[in-house]
This record gives sequence, C-alpha cells and structure tokens, in this order.
Amino acid sequence: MTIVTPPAAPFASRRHHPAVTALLVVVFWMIAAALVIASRTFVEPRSPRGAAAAEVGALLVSAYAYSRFASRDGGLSHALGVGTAWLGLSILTEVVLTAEEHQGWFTLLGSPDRALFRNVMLFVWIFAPALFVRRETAP
Amino acid sequence: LNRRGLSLSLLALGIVYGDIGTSPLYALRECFHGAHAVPVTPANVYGVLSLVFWTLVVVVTLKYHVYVIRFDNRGEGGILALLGLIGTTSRTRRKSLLIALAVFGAALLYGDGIITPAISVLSAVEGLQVATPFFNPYVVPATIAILVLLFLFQHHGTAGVGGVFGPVMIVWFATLAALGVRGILLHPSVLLALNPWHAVTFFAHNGLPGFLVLGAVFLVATGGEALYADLGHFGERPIQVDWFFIVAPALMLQYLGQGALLLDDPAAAVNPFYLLAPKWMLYPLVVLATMATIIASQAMITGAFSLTRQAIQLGYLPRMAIVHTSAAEIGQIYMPTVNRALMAATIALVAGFGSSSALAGAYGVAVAMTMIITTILAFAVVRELRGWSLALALLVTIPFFVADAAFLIANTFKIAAGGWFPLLVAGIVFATMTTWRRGREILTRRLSEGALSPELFIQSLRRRPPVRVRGTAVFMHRDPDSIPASLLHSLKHYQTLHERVILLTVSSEEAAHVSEPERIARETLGEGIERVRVRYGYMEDVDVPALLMRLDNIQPMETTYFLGRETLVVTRGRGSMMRWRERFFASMMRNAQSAANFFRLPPSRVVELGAQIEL
Repeated sequence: MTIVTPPAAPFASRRHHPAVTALLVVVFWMIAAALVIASRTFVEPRSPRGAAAAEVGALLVSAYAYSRFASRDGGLSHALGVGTAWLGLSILTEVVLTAEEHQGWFTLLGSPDRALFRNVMLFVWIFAPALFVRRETAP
Repeated sequence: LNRRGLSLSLLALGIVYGDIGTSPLYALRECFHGAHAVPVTPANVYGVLSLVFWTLVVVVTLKYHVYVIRFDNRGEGGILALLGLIGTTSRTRRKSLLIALAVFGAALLYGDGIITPAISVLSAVEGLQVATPFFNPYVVPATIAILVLLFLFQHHGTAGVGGVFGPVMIVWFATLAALGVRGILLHPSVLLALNPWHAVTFFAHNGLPGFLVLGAVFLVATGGEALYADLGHFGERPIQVDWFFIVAPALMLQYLGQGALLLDDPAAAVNPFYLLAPKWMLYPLVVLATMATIIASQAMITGAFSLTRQAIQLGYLPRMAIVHTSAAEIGQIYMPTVNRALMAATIALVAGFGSSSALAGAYGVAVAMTMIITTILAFAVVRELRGWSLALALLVTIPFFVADAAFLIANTFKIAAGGWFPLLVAGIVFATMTTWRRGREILTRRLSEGALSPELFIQSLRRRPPVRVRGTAVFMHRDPDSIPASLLHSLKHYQTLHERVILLTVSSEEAAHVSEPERIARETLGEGIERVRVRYGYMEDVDVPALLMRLDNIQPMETTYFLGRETLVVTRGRGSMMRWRERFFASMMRNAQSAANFFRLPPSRVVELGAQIEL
C-alpha cells in the first residue's frame, strides 16, 4: 500500500499563528533597519544621494524578502499593516534613542531638516511591503 | 425621546457631530495664529468669539437644524437627496443648472472627506508638541500611521466598535464643556462676547483683515453639512436633541473658555485648546482628542462610501464593488476603491501640508461652496415643491445666502494657500460624474437606435417560431420598450430560445427607498416572454436573484442571465462629447464593476454577449 502524503506548504504560504506573524514582522523590520543604518553609516559620507538611494533600496529589498519568505499569500491589507507596524517600530526606536542620547537621532526616517526625503522614507516604510503583494485579499 | 431615540442620539454624537465637535482643536487658533490671523487684543477676542457664537446660531442652528433638515427625501438628507427632490428626469435650462450645482456640491463633499481626517487627526496629535518639542518630528509620521490603520480597518466595518463611539464622544463633549468652564472662570466677563455688537465693532475696527478672519471663523461650522447628510441614519429628533442639549452648549463653553484663556494669556494663541487644559491632563487629552478625531474621520469615510453608492445608483458614477460589513445593518458598507483613493489622498495631504495650521488653509473653501449650494437648492425646493410664496422664500433664504456668501468670499482668499486642493478634487469628481452621466445617456440613445419593439418581435416569433429549450433566460437591459440586443444576438447565433424569457429592466429611482408594492411591474408579452421592471431607491442594494426568487420562485442556479457587453469605439465626427470625455467614458466603462457582480448574479450562470458601439 502506498501512502500519499500531501506536500507541505512552503513556510511563506502557511497561515501563521499571530504571534509568529508578529515575530516575523519584527525580524524583517530589524533587517530593514540594519540595512538603512548601514547605508547611512557607510555610504552617506561618500555620497549623500547614493545613501538616500541605498536606504530606499534597502527597504524595498526587505519588503520583497518579507513578502517572498514570510507572507507569500498575504493580501494588501496585511502588507499595509506590516508597513504601518514597521513605521511604528521606527518611530519608537528614534524616540527612545533621541531620549537616551539627548539629541535628535533620525537615522531610520531621515532628518526633519530634509523634509522631502523624510516624506519619501515615510511612504517607503509604509508602502514597500504592499508593492510586492500578489493578491488583493488573503485566501 | 424613547429608549430607541436615546440610543440613536448616542450613536449620532459620534457620526453626526464628530466633525463639528473636533473643530475646537484648531478653529480659534487659526483666528489668532493662522494665515489671516488678527492680533490677540481683548476687542478682537470678544469680536471673534461673538462671530463664532453667531455663526453657530445662524448657520448651524437656524439654517441646518431648523430649516434645511425639513427637506428630506423619504427620510434621507444630503445634497443628493435635494437633487432627488428637484428631479433629474425632466430638463429645463434652470433645472439643468440646479442639477449641475447639486452634482458639483456632491463632488465638493469628496474634498471635505479627504481634508477632515487629515486636519482633525493631525491637530489632535499636535497636542504632543504642546507637551514637549521633543515630539515635533514625530507628529506627521504618527498621524500617517494612525490614518493608515484607520483606513485599513474599514473593511471590518464599524458594527463591532460603533457602540463605543457614542460613549467616547460623550466623554469628549463633557471634557470640552468642563475645560470651557475652567477657562470662563478665569475671565467671566468673556460671556459678554455673546453680544452681537462685538462682532459689528470687530468688523468696523479691523476692516479687510477682520473680514478675512471669517475664513478661520468658518472652521467652527464646517461639520454643519454632515448633520443634514446623516439625516437618514438617525432621523430629525435625535440629531436635534444632541445639538441643543449636548453639542452646542459644549462647543460654546469650549470656545468661550479658549477666548478667556486668550484674554488672560495672549501667547496661548499658539494652541489654545491644549493650553486650556491643566498640565497633568495633557497626555490623556491627546489620547481622547485622537480618539474623537478618529471617530470624526470614520464618519466622513462612511459618508463618502454612502455618497458614492448614492451617486452610482443615481447614474452619476460607474459601478464599483460594494462590500457589506454587517448582516444586520444594510447601511454598513465598505467600498475598496473609494477607501484606497481616500487613504492615498489623505496621507498625501498630511505629508504635503505637514501641520494642521497649513491644512486649515485648504479647509473651508469646499464646505463654504457646498453650504451655499445647499441654500440655493433649498430655495428651489421650497418654491417648487413646498409651494412657498416668492416673498416668504426670499425672506428666509436671503439671510442664509448672505451669511454663506460672506464665508465663501472670505474663504476664496485661502485658495492659493491650499484651498485649490479640494477644488481640484471636486473638479475631477465633477468631470467624472458628468462624463459618466452624459456618456450613459448617449450610449442608451445609440442602443435604442434601430431597436426592435417587443410587439414586432413577438409577431416575428409567431411567424417563424424558433426551437425552444428548457429553462428560464433572463435578459437584462436598460430600455424596457425595446428588445435587448443580447436577445437578438442569441437568437441569431443559437437559433433557439428558452421556454421562459424574462426581459428585466432595473432602474434606480430618485427616492431613497421604494416601497415593496411599487417595486415590481410585470407584463406578459406572449410566446413565453415576460417584461419585468424593477425599481430600487438610491439607498438600496440590488439583488436580482433574490428578487426573482421572491417573484416566481425562480431558482438562481437554474436560470441563465444574459448581459450585453458594450465595447465603445471612439470615432471622429459624431461629436456627442469632447474626445477626451469620450475616451474617459470608454475607460470608465472598461473598468466599471461588471453588471453580473453588481446585480449579484451567480458567475457560473451568466452569459455576456458583446457589441461594438460608436460613441
């Protein structure tokens, strides 16, 4: 007798427990934040414009990785929720670090002195995960 | 009020009065710290407070709560209800102008719907800046995060959380009143501002700058139109009870309290609402204000969904997906397309303007125009439908018109500072609505050109009977006086006809609801063919299978629904519309939700037969 076992769904296609989803959101935010900080630290001294492009690129790559490996079947609402959570975590981090260092720490969202770039980063943090959504609603 | 009335009153506090109830966050600040601010002198404070009080009395209380609220369209209010009362079918030049005005007024409401969430949530979060400048860089990001969450939440509907809106707003209005009393106790003489003479002397002393401050004073009344638009949800009494016993007293005490604070400390003009509160209360007040503004925004978003559905049913917008978020409440709907457009525009506004003070420049123009249009339409209604004499109608209308015109003129000075935005939105929506309406009229005319009458068709069937197959076929079409092209195509190509054929025309009426006895008209034409006309109100949803089940127990899964699918060809020469409008209409036709979805037809039972139509 042959027992046919259905193939396991890839990790990204499974419906995760909400706690796992939350953990994945935080992990991928940490990756995104690390990439943004690295761009700011290593690229900006040489080329501020290059650093800006690298930061946006870092967020897009992280968002793509999240949608590819953590939530392949996630819908648009989920992606926007993830983007908002990433923005919330970034705000929280900046507030905490600013309070600790007693001076403005704006590495994740960009300096308020560069309002246009800060707005661009704000939009990218929120909407980057939504750019890679494959379906409007989750199955 | 009975128990139900009281519960409606509680619910209405959040939905109807969210917008006007959150104006104290920014209205008085803009009078003394905005683009057209006047200096904070005692005379100016008394003058502005007097203007605020009399604006609330004349515009909100007398015009909306006493006068306009009486013009309901079978219980429904709002500018489209007025349009329905005036009627869109018979056209004279004057009536066409009124219809265009009403449609433009409806388009303006979308501009308001975008600005209200942006300005109200932003002004609430700005309370953090009063606590410490440390939070300055985070006001815009935090506001955007809140707004995204608010729009994301829409597809769940408000049925679950709607119950907390009323209690939160009770706490909000109680807080407004308590803080107001606290301020008045600082300077009890501020109560003298209720004397209209202060408003008169204010204009006399300040000249043009005094007139321009009306653009900021008007912010206290911007939610006025909402109470009329929400008439159908709550009815006249609960809305009036809320206003006269809770909202108006709380707002007046709050504005007087802010005025008293300014008399005591002119530097408080930077944010009189938050500076009126004791320091310990600041953070809880930011939280409460944010909740109140979220509720106000929710009301505007829901209002935009409702307005869009009305416009679709009245034939001014293409069909769009409508999701019902509550099985119990038919009015609880979610429209993904509208939600996304509102979210994108609201977020862009917050990021673009950056502060509620800058946004206040954009706020007011659209509302002032909507209000004056409402006054004009109400005049037409009292003259033509209520039979008022010209003298009486003018006697009532002229004071409101003068007040509306003064506010509108003052607000036009804000166009360069951001007022262009709601006008741009309204222009786009107006072009969309009128193009869709006109395009549909032309399309209907083209389709009826050379159409076959039912009588001739039946005669030809009798002469040459086709093969009849089992089952029921429903042919849906617009013109009940002709045979649908899809039926002729079907007969031509398949050479067969179902045993039972229903020619179904669904029309949307200018009334909000249609009573059951008036809903269906059926007529047997012979040869197994029946003509059925179904009428729906513009606040009702169309469900064709459910209707046919009720009609003759026609099973949806045993019926074939035939729909015509027109592909529009834009050609030179016919000239019914400008070419860009023809292309725009053709694009809307392609992107409109399919009739099958809109009429809730089972997808597996639908046959679409295409035809190319030259516009």
